[in-house]
Amino acid sequence: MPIDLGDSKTRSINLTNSSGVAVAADSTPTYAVTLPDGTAGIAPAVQTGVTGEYYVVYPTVQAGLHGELWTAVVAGVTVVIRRSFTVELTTPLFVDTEEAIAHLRAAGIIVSAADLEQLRTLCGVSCSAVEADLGRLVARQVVTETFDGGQSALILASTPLISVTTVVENGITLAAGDYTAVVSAGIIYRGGQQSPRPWLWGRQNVVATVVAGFLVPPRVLRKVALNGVQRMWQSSQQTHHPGLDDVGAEEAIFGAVGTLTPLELAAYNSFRAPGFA
Amino acid sequence: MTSTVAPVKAALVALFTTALPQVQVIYGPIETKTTTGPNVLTVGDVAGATEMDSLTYGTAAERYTVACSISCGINGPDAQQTVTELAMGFYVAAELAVREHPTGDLGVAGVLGAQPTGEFELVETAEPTGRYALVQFSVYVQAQRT
Repeated sequence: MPIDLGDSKTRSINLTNSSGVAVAADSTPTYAVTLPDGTAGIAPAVQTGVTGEYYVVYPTVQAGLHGELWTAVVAGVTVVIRRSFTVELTTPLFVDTEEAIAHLRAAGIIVSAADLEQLRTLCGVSCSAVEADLGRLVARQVVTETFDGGQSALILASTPLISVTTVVENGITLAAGDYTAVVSAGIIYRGGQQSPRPWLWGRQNVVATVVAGFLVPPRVLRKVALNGVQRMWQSSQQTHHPGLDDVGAEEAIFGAVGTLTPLELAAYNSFRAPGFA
Repeated sequence: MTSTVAPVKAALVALFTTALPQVQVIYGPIETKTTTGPNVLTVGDVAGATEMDSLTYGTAAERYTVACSISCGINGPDAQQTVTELAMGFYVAAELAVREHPTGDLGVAGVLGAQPTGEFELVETAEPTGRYALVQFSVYVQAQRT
């Protein structure tokens, strides 16, 4: 189940003896969390539930991979539990569960909270897969890129470009007239339209914050993402029944969904960024 | 004049759904379902014949067989006996449900009688993904189109 940045997530352990019976710790266990940047996070107070259950309500403050460490003493024996969890950014997905359920013809079938969260996870995977395949951002989002100076043009990796928010050169935020953005090409030139000049020389001294992606995600990209969700959902939800399947569940799914029509494929590939084959 | 085939299939789906709560009962092929579980029963193909009662084709007798399949799957290298016994248990329960229907006609208008043929086939399959058992049986229906 995905954990979104800003959520307060309950993290818990259940202590049992060798027979699997729940037992209380000799004293309240300790909890420690390591943030994605490697620093120690602020550990919430450990709370007690039913026998053997201990939990914290952790307020997420960073996106990324977290490490957590539980330490408890049970009947004089130290128990150490190490786990990890990932906090996701809240970038909107360009296909979401409602569309996916309609695409799957699963209205009234995918209803439980667990299934909906699983479907949302697959939507996120499929959206990121499309973006990675094309080398483009699809969902509108704010991106910061850093460049070396001394060149005439900054070629953004995050395209298509919608707008430039700020450009900082050698620590100084430039006025809007001090640079010229070519939105269609994803390039930012130093200087005004009639007064081009190179960026000041330096290493990683120019920082551009831009808005990139599509204001209106193209329909063919959304369909490809939905096809991906469908494949992933059905292959995870359909139990294999070799006696009933003509070609096997997975093969049937691939044959029906995995192949795009030539028109769809051509349209999808038209969005591919240069250099992404 | 309407055929009894479609309402009989629907009635069998309803009957098996009630009699086998642990089994996912599917009308038609398994691929029609977005989500399938480890135990499924499909009410599938129908084969039979229609005989006109008279040259005016006002009424006709239908005799046909509805093919049903029960498929169970389970993980684990030693699970074959378990899954086979599971599938056979479901088959016995399904057949009993048809035989013990209170009116013997599945509650479908026009049906004169519906009974399992008594013939069945058990097929066991072992794959890296698990162990599977398939039991195929059929229900014979005599009906009158009016």
